[in-house]
Amino acid sequence: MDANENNFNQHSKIRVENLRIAYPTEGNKVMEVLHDISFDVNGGSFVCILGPSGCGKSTLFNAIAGLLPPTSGDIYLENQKITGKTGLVGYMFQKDLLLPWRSVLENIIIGTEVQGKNRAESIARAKSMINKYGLAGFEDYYPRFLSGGMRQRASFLRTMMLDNEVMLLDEPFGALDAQTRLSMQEWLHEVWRDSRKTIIFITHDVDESLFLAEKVLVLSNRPSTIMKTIEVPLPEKRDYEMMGSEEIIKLRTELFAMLRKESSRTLGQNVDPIAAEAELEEK
Amino acid sequence: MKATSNKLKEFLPPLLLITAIILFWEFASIWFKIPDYLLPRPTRIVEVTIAKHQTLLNHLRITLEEVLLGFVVGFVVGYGLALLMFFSKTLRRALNPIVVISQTVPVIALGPILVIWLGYNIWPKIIIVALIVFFPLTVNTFDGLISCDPDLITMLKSMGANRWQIFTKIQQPNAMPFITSASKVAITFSVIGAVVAEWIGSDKGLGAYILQTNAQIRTPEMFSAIFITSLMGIVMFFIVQAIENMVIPWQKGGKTKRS
Repeated sequence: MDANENNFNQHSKIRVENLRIAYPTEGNKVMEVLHDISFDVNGGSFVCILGPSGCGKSTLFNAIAGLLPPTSGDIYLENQKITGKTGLVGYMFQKDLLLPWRSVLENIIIGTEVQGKNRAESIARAKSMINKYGLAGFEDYYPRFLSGGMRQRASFLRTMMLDNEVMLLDEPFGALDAQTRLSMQEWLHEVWRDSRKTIIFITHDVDESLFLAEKVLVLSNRPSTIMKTIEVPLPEKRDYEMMGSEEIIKLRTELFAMLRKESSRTLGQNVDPIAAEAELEEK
Repeated sequence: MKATSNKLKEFLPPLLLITAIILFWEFASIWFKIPDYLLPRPTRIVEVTIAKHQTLLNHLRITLEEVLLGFVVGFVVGYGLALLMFFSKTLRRALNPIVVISQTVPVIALGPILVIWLGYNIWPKIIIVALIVFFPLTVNTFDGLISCDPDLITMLKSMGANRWQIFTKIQQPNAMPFITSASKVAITFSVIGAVVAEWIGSDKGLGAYILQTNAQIRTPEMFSAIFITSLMGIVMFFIVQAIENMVIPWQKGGKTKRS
């Protein structure tokens, strides 16, 4: 078989091909969450998926993580089909989802337990990450005694410990206050430059996407498609001052306008994708 | 220093109140010349307890045995039923009404027939205690297992976890506080259960002793046995509470995990 025929890209780490997700709803209707999504992420890059609230961004991640079988289309990891398979990409959620009965350290190594890795080695690795990434001294704490920012760091390190090359981050800083959020963005960017993981990051925050990503994919509202792909004109190592450049401000205005338009388009459209998903699972 | 004064603040009011009640009881008994067979004075009860301590201890040992064995059997059965109901929807539907019916049948009514079936020994008592204990355990364990945050399960699934890992790493620990709190209820009930079970058919144990002394109008001995029974319940409760503090340290302990 000719590999070129299949959109072959040797740098491709993860590829989403013609992904469509639709749920049957009451009265034989079909609610389409994702219409037709295709994109390709190179190894070691940082991509943001920007879209209005409720546009099915999390549905997209659930499909990539193998938690939700797509209606049609496929997901490829290093050109291997992984549609419907779990445990192959790291997935970090908006909520920190730390287990209250485990210490920070034990929370961070839970994925390695699931993978059946050597416990002593995992603990050693986790400890060095804890020290390196700003949680030193807190490894034995129960999560409820940590601040929101620290909990998200722990949650991120737990995802890192899985050792998957691709990490899906679903609005991980969405619940944090503005100050903590900025420092977490800087922290994440540093960790990314250091680790060279392939990161796909969901957000509805234009500034966040421009500051973090090399490439921004703008999603339309439901049924979602990719409206636009933007290469962010910033160097790899960046700081907040660069966000004031004319180019970025222009981009920012353009993106805001796009999102505003998409949000207003959906007013009056009242189907909750999460409720529909839960309903589907019941069946 | 501060810790001691706080402890004092906590224990002083109940201690004072209980002392006041006992003193009132003592002096009222003397003042109104209440005879011992109606209401013995506290000092009289203490006196009898010391004089009869060997007999009381023997009865206590029997009741304690029934309570502990009955509790263990009830705990295991209760937890096991919760697991069955949790893992199989069919079993859940089948067992649910039976579990509820078992609690609406008066245990006292079952006692005599259990004695006929199993004989005049410890088994009817163990079964009666177990019948009382298992119910709160089944109901609470089951609730604890199903009440866990579905997002936690999704998170673990995304890591490739199987059904068993989800159970051991999330659902079971999530149920722990429910189980310990059910155990505290159950251990208290199990003391009452053992006493009632002894009334139905036994000549040994604190319950049987209460019945005998009551029939012979040896009221001071009866009161002594009642207090010992109650004390036993209190001690058992605190033991279970101490175990609870050890098994769910994330709720009851300090900020950090000691490993």
